[in-house]
Amino acid sequence: MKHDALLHKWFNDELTDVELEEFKKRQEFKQLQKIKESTDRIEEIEFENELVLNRILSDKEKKNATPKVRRRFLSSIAAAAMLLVLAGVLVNRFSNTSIAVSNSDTSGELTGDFPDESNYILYAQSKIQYDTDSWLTRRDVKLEGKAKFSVKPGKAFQVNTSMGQVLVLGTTFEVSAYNQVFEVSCDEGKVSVKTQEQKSYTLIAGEQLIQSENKMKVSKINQEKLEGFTLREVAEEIEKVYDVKIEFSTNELEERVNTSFVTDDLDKALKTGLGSFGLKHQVLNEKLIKVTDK
Amino acid sequence: MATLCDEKTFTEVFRNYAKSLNSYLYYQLGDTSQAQDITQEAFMTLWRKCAEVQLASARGYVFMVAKNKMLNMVERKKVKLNFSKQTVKTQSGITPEHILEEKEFQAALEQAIQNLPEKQRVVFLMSRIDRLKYAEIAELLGISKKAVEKRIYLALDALRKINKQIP
Repeated sequence: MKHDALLHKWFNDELTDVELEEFKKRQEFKQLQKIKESTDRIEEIEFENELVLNRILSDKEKKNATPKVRRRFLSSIAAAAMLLVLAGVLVNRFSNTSIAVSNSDTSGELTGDFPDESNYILYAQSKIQYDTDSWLTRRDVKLEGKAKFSVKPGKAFQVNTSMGQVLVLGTTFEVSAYNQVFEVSCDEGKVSVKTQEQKSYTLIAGEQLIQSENKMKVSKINQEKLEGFTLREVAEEIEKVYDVKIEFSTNELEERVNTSFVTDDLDKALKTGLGSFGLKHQVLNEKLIKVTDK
Repeated sequence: MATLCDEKTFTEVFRNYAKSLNSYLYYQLGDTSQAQDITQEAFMTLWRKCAEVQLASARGYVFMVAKNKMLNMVERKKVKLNFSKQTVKTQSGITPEHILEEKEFQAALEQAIQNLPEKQRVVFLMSRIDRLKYAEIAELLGISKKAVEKRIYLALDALRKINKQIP
């Protein structure tokens, strides 16, 4: 059977008389004509138009439906994987099916759903933007400010900010954003983070990434990775993780380094975190450590 | 400016598109009440989000919401089609044999449509029954117009073969 424009014109009753005569000469014409005539007699699918319309129009929830200010977290978030993103300013073009939600409130939170029942909490002074038409194939959200997302399983879900991107690899997550700080934390599932410098990091449950100015901290389950930190700041991180106090007998602490330390062994942490830069430590007691450069 | 939050505008949008959305769902699910439920949910979502959705993208929006809801439904029933009882006048007049033959043909056609791959069936019926234009179907299904043509062609090619089963 021939597949050409004439076939479709015939199927849509758009043939001119001359074209119809031409089409009739085809071997398959009679069979096709019979099918078309019979399908013309198929009745439209029944649909209780007015009943359904009335149910919708009398919907009581409608009034609170559009994003509303709410001061509590969604309880469903607790079970969901959580992702926290802090980011700066974002500028992007609007397409005609783009939806932008802004929360200009100074304290409240705005909650709402995406077309696939994924939802968001938009914090004060923040804005998200997404495209409804392409949502099924591309779940891309542009974020300016701070927001949290809980995402239904499905296609990849990506949050774009001026400071980096977050791609959800697992099931559910949550996002929030602040100026000039990029922060992602994952409580469950798996997310991939790409920074402005095109560096990629994968975070699993319990892990966190914070980037601000020229510093980057990746908190893994049992390891903390620091980039662009001064030795003093590295020591401060160790203090926080192990709840100890570090005293220095040197002032050479402003050098910026890339380092990492484990979070379950203080001695090892001090050796790798600071020791590799020529600093020696001495544990004075459970809470106090002395660090020297001798 | 007309917005979807205006009841009159929403009603108009609903009357224009709800029926074809319902049909679209039925052609896949084969279940009239499931199709109607999803149609209702999709338009309910649109109504609740009326402030966020632009009038021009309302149809695409409800189709997308409905498609997403359908993703979770794996069960498919046979798509049943009703043929109008009205008899077609032919030059030879109507004979009981003719009516019987017509009924047999319709049963064969219904079965052949049921047996079409889902993608072909949906496109074929949306075009034939709901009279949607190829371009509209392409847009709503997120496929190219060429893909619509291909599916119509494949459906027609499969369906025309039932003629041979009828003496």
